[in-house]
Amino acid sequence: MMARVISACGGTGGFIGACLMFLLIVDALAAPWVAPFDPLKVDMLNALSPPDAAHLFGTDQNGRDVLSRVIWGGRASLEVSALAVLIGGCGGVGLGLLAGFFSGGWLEQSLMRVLDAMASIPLLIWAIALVGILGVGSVHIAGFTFGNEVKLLALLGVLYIPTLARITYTTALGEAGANYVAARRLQGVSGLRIMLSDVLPNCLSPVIVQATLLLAIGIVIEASVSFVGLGVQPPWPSWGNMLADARNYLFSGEWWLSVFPGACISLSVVAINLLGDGLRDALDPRHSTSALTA
Amino acid sequence: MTDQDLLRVEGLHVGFRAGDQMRDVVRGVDLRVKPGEVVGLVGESGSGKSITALAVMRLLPPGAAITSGRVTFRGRDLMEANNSEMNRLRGGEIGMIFQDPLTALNPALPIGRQLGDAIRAHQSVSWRQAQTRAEELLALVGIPFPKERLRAYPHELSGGMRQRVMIALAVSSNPSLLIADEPTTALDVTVQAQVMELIDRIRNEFGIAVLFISHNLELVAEIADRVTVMYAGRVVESGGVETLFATPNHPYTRQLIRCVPRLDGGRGAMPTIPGLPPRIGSLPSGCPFAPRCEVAEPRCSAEDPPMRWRGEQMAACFLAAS
Amino acid sequence: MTARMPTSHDNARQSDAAPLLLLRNLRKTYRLRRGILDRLRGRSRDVNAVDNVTLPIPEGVILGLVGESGCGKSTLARLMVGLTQPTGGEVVWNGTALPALSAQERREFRAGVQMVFQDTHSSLNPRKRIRVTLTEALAAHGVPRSRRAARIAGLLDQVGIDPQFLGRFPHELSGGQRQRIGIARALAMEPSLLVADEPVSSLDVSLQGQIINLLRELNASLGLTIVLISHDLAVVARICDQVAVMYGGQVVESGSPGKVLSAPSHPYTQALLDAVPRGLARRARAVLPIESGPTEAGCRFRPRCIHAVAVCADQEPAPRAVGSGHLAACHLARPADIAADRVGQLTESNL
Repeated sequence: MMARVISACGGTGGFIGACLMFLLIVDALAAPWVAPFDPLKVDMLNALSPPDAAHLFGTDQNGRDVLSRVIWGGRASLEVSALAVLIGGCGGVGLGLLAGFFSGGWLEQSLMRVLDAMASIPLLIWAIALVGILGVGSVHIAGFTFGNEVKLLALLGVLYIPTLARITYTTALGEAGANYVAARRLQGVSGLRIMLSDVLPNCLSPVIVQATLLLAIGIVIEASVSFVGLGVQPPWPSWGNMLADARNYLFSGEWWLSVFPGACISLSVVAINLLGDGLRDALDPRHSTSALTA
Repeated sequence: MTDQDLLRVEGLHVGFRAGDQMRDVVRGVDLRVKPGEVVGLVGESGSGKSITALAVMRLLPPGAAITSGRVTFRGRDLMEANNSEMNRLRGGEIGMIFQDPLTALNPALPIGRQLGDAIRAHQSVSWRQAQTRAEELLALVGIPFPKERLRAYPHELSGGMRQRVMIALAVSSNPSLLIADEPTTALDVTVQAQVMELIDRIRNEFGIAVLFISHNLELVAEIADRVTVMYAGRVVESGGVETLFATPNHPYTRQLIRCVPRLDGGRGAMPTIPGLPPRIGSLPSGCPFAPRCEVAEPRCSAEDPPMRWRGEQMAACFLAAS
Repeated sequence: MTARMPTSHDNARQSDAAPLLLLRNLRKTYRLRRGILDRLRGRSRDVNAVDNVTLPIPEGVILGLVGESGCGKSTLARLMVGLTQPTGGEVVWNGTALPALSAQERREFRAGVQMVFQDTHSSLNPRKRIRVTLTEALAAHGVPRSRRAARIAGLLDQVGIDPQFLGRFPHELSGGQRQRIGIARALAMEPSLLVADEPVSSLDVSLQGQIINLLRELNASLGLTIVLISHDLAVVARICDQVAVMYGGQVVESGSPGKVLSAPSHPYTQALLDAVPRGLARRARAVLPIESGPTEAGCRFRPRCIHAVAVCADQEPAPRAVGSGHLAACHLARPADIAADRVGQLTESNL
């Protein structure tokens, strides 16, 4: 049974990655119930106290519980990067699929040029620049209030489109020339239908692997942007802005302020990469029933 | 097996790693090549013929290893040879040509450069001398305008030309043995004829022994002096080419010969061997061909068939005449 | 599927009856990408993959199309089934050129002409189980859901595949089994013409017969017209009613295998026959000279032809009759055939 699960994750590495990702997701979803303390609750009497029984990760300069803030910070990180990947994925896969399947015409050329232009913009600069221009306030749309991170994830998502589109495009280009696609054409099936039902599933595997990588990048970008103050706004915690606060305490001995958020960033990135590698193997239909070939 | 054998393979077993076990895909192969003779190694997919050749050269892919047996070249045990000795042999005394010349040649280097490298790997000559030799080799293998062609890249040449370059590479250090693994399979039939003619000419002019591996019976019959037939990792028949084709002693050889379509073979349904060759994971006990054999008896699936000798001819079959 | 009369294999039925599919002056040109210098000089390099091919495909025959790589047979196959559009000439289905078909006729053509591919790995969607591949073919053909299971069972029976393989993925099947599924998928459309592009090249010799015999049987029992593209002359000699030999984008000889493959009229056909390995017979073979670049004018085969004379460089030979139903595109072709040992008799005065 265990072996089946491990195999489904594409090996031991993938399994570990999947477990850690699972923890991260649980943490993000269940933050309000899992966190022992209110992450915003100020308690100056207990400020800067090292990890102990009550505060497992210690308290920060405002007496807030670091563990709770780390948990809530995880939620912000995952929220931003996951939604960014979703936007990038939908847009990227859609554009790449169209360009690759209907190649040889103006559609392919114009789409590829647009993507080239988008890809030439460095992610972090773009994120910082736009947030700098649009400001760090919350966004109000149709009566809903979105935190500053929403801007962030929208921007990230848009910039993810070229990478994912390119991967989809390359695979789609190859698959579009395959004989099984020709056979479907011979059955009189419309191009769009073939594209969606035959070519798309065969393009997803490399996209999913890349998407997990982008997830990891997103976490780092969110942390970076928050670190410079343009991301999640205080008092709400993010791993990035927690590190920013911890900057002042790097050499004065309050290690718990920087180590825990930093370790979470690293662990998340490692977990996501492991999972991505595992998924790549697991998603190959040849994986589960591979015959020994001589 | 005499001491004059150039290449001698005895009881070779080659296995692939599957989980924590080794599954043998070559199971007890004997082979010998005498100086100057052409030995044909015939088999279909899964027979293990290519793996045998790779094992002889110690070029097995990762996950595969020789599990038992002996390979001797000129009396030297190749199992004992270290890496640098093997490197001296490969491309030196033993030349190899493979099926797909496009992947066997480096696409990023002009062929003059590849030939030069190969020559200088085995002989200490200057670069200029190597290029002269390369030009001679290209002319030898029948490539027109050899001097200009030295600058060409592999993709600029046709399949047949590339194979000629491979042959030039293989004979550049005057080997005594040439191992040709399906050298013409990827080529058109007219180009195949040209390359076969070249191999024959080289073999005659330089007295090089050839281990010619192919699934094409007609091709092997054209060029070989002796033939070894493999099925599912075992040698099922071997012997002189004329006797083997005139009076095949093993049912697989007989049935296989019948399947080969001939231009003068009349019209009608094509003969075929029913069923499928066994997959590596599920090799049956006893004779591996028994499930598809038209004259199989119960004992064929129970015990391994003996090797029956009739002069120079060997057939691994209970029903073979001896 | 309406029953059809089985046809005899022995005699090529000639074009008194209108052919099922007619290729008329078909041309397919590919424009090669030119470098900047070429563009400035106004030079274009166009390749005629198929160059002025006229070929009738009579109903109920097995037509063999032979040639080596680059001769255009694969391009011709794609033109036949409508996967590519010709640059010149037309494909005529039941008397009407393809572009002129009505919507209904177009649907009939689409279902009626199917293809089986050479590469078994890419001919089936690796992510779809066999059952899905066959079901969607039936769905595309308009077979109602209730009838699909029975139809699939029938198809599997026809091609000789056990139903247990329905739940498998393509990579779990052997090459021969995948090829059978490819044939079943084509049969799901109830075609009248099946183009088989090198269907057995990637299979072992001992298994090739299984697929070839299946095609032969489908031709006999269903009257299915088959175009068999192959480089193996012996297979073509064995089962085809007609054969067409291609070189350089053109059909250089066509007729019944009995004539074309034993007493050819075109030097290239002769060269092909010479090149086939003869095993122990080990006949000293006339080996064809190495191919040189494209020719500007005249016969495409001239640079490699041992019989070439002056006119071969000036004029492209048109196919001419050298026997009943036997055409050869060679200036020197005569009802008395060209065989290698009759070279001496051929001089310009013969023309």
